[in-house]
Amino acid sequence: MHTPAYTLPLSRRLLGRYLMFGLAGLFVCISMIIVFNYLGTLKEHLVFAVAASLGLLLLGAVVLQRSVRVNQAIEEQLRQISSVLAGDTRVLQPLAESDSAAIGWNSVIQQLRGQQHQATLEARLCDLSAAGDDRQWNRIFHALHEGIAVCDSNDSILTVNNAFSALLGLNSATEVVGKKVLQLLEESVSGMQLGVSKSVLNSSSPFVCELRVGKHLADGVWRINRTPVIDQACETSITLWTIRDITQQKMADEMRNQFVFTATHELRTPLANIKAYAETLAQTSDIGIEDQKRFYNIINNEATRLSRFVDELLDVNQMESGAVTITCGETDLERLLNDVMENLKPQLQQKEQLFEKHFAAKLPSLRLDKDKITAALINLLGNAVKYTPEKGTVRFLVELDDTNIHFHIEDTGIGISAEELPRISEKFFRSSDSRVQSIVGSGLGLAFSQEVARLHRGRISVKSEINKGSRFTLTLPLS
Amino acid sequence: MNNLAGNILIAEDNGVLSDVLCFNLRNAGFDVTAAENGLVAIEKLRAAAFDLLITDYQMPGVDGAELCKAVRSELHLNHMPILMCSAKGLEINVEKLKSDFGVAKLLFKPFSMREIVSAAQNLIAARVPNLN
Repeated sequence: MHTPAYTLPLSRRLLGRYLMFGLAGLFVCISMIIVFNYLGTLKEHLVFAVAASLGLLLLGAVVLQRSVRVNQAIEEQLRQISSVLAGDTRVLQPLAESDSAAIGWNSVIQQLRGQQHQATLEARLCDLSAAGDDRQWNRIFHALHEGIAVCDSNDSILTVNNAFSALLGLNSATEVVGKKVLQLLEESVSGMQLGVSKSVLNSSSPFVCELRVGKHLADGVWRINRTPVIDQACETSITLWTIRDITQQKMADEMRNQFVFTATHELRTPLANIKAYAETLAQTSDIGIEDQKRFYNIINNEATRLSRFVDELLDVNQMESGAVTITCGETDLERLLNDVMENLKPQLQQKEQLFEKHFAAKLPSLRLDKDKITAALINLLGNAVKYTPEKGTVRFLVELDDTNIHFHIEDTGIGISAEELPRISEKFFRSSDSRVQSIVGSGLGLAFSQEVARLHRGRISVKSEINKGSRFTLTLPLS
Repeated sequence: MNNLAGNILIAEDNGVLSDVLCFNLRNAGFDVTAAENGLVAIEKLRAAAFDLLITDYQMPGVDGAELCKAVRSELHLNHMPILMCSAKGLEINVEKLKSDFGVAKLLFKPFSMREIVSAAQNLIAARVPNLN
């Protein structure tokens, strides 16, 4: 196997060169003395022989010096590496010489620099990605819809996210640092009732409670959650407070409760009537024929009322699932309006009201879903009759223009307040007016009628004034 | 036919149910007067004496609870038994109605006519010896 010369140890190489020059100098000196002695001119040339030998030795010294210089430079730099160097190879200088040691050294530097460059790159990438992670988490923290406050073990705020600031109406997130969450809640919610004792807050156990922000449900309901975070030493290092706005959920719950309550009442009332009359007919032997007939009619009417409510429930169920469909057919409007009036008769007879109707002279035939439009009109008229006191007036007007047909239903009834007007077509919504509350209703009828109008590319518009009356208009396109 | 003649006032806004109640109670021998809401009932109670008040809980204007309050505190009819009926369910605090206004019995719709006639007979029968 071939071994390159520069792989020999330096000391052996130095010794080899030194010996070579020494022996060469000795050989030159002895040779010249012998030659000059033979020629008989030794005396004259002794100085010259000595000088030549010394010159040769001097040359050897210079060569040696040059050989050592590279190694000295390497040695010096190695010392620097051991004393100063902390991975920074910039202090290492490549050597200009072209001998094997310098080439080796330069190759070492190149490799070291390559490695260091990689390490630096890796470190920078690490730094960048760590900083990137922090920024990412920060963005996520502020993007969460839940208000979050991170507190120390004493419940003093360290940081809060944007949602927390927004919920509590804070100008800046930094102004609350150091404050207590409970103190902040007390400041922003007047008359706050957390429903938990203060001792619970001081314990390390988590808790959840609901907080009403105002007098009404719609003012806001928050779910407050406190979670102590336990560190490795089993100590509470930080406490996490979260505030979630559950107003929508609470309102939906209330609407559902309202619906269950209404449905129960709406089902029980006709049921109670049917049961009472059927029982009376079955158990009383001496009922006159006229009374009997009247009782049977009442049972029939109440059963119809029950079935209408069940239909309404099914319609709403369809609406909820977005499955309300209409089946349009050529419809004689006059017949449709007669059906509506016939259906409304029992309701009109129950109340002493003035009922006025005025229909356009010639009513056209329209393509629409007869049953659904009839139901929508009965609903609107039924509401007008229901929410108008005795002696009041209900008007039913049908007008035509070039493109549309308008069914106006006017009453001089209870009316709707400006605050509640935008909410009346919400499903299950019923006015908080005690006069409305005392009248049975599902809170579904208008939502259904509106959906029917929409499916016919029409609309229902409302004008109303509290204590004066309302005007509902169902507008349908003629074509 | 019952021989315990008694004067009954019915406060019920559901005219259909009020009619059949009147029919059955009259058939059982009572004198029955109907009022379509709480206010009318108060007027009738001021105008005449009744042995029993049958009232609905949910009525427009003055409801059943308010009527009971008026009966006891304004009209001072402390001994007149009150029978309440309602289509409401769990949300009615029966015990509170009993303790605050001395409501003798609460019936939930749909109730049996026989049940209400029998309750009326029992309440009036229990009241008559007290008056004697």
